[in-house]
Amino acid sequence: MSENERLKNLSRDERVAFCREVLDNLSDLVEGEAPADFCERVDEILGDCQAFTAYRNTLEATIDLAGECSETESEFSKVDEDAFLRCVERVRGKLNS
Amino acid sequence: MAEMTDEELLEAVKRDDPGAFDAFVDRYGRRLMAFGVRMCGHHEDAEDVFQETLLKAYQGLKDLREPKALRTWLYRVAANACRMKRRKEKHSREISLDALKPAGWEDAMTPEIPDWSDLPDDASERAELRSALEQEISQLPPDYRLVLLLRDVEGLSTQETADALQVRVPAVKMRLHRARMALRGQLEAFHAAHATQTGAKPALGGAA
Repeated sequence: MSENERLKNLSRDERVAFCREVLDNLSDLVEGEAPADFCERVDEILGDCQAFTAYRNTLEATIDLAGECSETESEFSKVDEDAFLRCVERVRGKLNS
Repeated sequence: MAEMTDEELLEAVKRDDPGAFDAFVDRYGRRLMAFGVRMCGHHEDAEDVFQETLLKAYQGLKDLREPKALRTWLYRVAANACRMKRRKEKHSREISLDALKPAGWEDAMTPEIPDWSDLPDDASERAELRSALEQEISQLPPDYRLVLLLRDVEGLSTQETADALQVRVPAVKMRLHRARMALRGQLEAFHAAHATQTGAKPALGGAA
């Protein structure tokens, strides 16, 4: 029996342990930083798992959405121009004193 | 001065060129202030943090030897200012790490997981989703928020984030991953609530 066939026949406890290992390393997986042999195991065991695919896809969507935050205005990114200029002038004053 | 490279900007600062301060502020000021707002969660503290960052950064620019590391170094100054501000606050709220465990962590074999990864094209719906995400980012514990903001929002690499925060790469990866997983869980809850309100049924990912 090959390694992959053995993994495919994991017991439920082993699969749960494997799923937790995958969750622990999901950021590395979606960013392509996980070791190649680990990626192969994930593909073999979870390649046809829709729940895993949904989980991975939604983590990627979360990361993508966070990346958009820097390029868009929101209550957290909106810089109050008056406050900004006030701060700049205070610092300019301290630098010149 | 708008067309200057960072190297040229640094040289201008070192020579005390007229306009060097304004050029520096134009290039990095608003971004640093927005970072402060995201870290502090409100504008008053963010103004204090931004002023401290701008003052320390400009005073330290003359001693910076690696112009290519300017952006990373600026975030280090900003992160330190945020930490100092937090230490001064008597009523700062720290959330336990357990609170960051994502929904679904304990039951990895959950049979159905909604797949809401197809983000809306509609600008207002997408903005609403981003707003929900930013709200959740503001609730992350500070050390996790810092890592997530630097890595995923500001776009620093893992190594640059580690350099900015003066921590090891594995620590960055661990905090980043936990923060992302927490946010994913919160967005899932947001989608579930939204689906309940609208009667929409999200696509589900069933277990194999």
